Amino acid sequence: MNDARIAGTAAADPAVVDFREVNYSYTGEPVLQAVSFKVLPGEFVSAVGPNGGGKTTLLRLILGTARPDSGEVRVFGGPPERARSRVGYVPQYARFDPLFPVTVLDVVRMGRVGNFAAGPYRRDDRQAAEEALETVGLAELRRRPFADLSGGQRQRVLIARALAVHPELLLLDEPTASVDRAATAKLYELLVELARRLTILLVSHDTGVVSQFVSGVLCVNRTVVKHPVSRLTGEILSELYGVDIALVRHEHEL
Amino acid sequence: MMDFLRDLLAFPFLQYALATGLLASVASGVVGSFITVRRISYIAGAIAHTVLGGMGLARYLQRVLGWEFVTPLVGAVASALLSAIIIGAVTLYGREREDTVLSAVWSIGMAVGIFFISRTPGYNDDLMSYLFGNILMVRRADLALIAGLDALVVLVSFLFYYKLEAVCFDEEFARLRGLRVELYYILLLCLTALTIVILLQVVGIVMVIALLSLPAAAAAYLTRRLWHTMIVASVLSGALMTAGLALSYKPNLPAGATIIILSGAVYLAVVGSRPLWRKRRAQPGKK
Repeated sequence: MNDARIAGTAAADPAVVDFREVNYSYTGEPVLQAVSFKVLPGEFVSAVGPNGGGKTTLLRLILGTARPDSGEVRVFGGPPERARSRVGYVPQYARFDPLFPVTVLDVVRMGRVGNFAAGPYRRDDRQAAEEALETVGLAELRRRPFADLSGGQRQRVLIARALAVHPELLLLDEPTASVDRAATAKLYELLVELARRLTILLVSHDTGVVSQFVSGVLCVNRTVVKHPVSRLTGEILSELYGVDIALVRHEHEL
Repeated sequence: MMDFLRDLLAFPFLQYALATGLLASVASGVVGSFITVRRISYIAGAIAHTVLGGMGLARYLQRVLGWEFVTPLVGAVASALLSAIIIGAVTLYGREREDTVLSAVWSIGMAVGIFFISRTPGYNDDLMSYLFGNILMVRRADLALIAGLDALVVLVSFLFYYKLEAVCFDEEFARLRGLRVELYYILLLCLTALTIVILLQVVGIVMVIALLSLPAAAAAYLTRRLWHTMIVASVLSGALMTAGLALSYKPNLPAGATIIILSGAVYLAVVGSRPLWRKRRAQPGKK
């Protein structure tokens, strides 16, 4: 299935994400250099690479919260700022204030907060939120305080919030960071399900695990090289990290 | 206590005092909850202190230059809004150290106030009542302005409740959803400024921050949705105002200080008893 998608018919469609010779530096230090790649409709792509290698910057460039020094980033064929209504973004759950008094449904509804000028949410906003909660399998927990949920559940709530946007592209920033193994497996199960109808780009640490699920891998370390997943060998990974891949894998499974 | 109830029926000044306290509770519960969850009560503290500058300047203009319409309350509104906008702009766009700027705005505001008050002939009792409040001195004309400000603050908060909630919870996500988060942040600071002016009448500049943050912080522990927090904070705050006023009346204690001490006690009681009822809320989920 995955291979078909990579090699496949999508080539005629315009790319969802298109980087053209992008350079980006932060306080004089180059973070990304001469980066060119495309993510095509329907692809499920994972960005991997060492910390500080530029993965987060990649996300920020796609979201339009960072601008390239030179080169061009296009999302759905235009500037990233204009594509935001078609992009669902999922940050890490650990970033959130555990004391914030907010229920699961309150959080998910925030995916619709840009859809009205003032006053309350509209009926279709509430409906979109309920549907998104169904999709991630947390409908029964809708009235629970967000902070009372486990890490994996909270991460799924944030995915539901992004789905409530009705996005065509889903961006996830290390969704399995500080989530236990059982919950990680369930998260990937959900993402594989979502990948049938969405383009997904995921930033991830756990290289070994991710490559079982995705159709392509972006190796990010100041440069970006895109590999179809069948070609993602230990050699490529050790080149990327500069260490033996078994060691890397070992590290992440601790 | 009976004296308080009897006199409440008899004396308008006591009725104005109670009305001011209850009106202040509503705005304070609503805006205080936003401030608490957004964790910017220290910014509210800075805004509160700069108000002395506006009050002192207004007093000077009124007494020395004879500008009758510039009452200290008008000066307070103007300076609170001005400092909210300055502080908002600096914390959003400035490259300076935030704490340095806040300290500067805070102390310069106070210095300007003391400067003008000292240049104004007449009794300087004003300074004490600005700093520590004097709820029993609220006049009918003040009450009308306070009620107007209160209605404005509550109306705007309700109108933009969901926007402000989203911005407070996750600014980055709200921005990606097309919200002008900087504008909402400044709006929140302006609402804070107006609420501070209302609360000033009750407890004065120095203690206003406690009244804005303690009932809301206690309420946030007890509730699981932001608007529930606001209701509980408003009711709690109203009860504290009434109790403080009643308790301080007969023994002639300072009303503002009594209210603050009660607020602190309630906050500590809620935080201290938290382990007891947190178990009940905890649930079997992992991690």
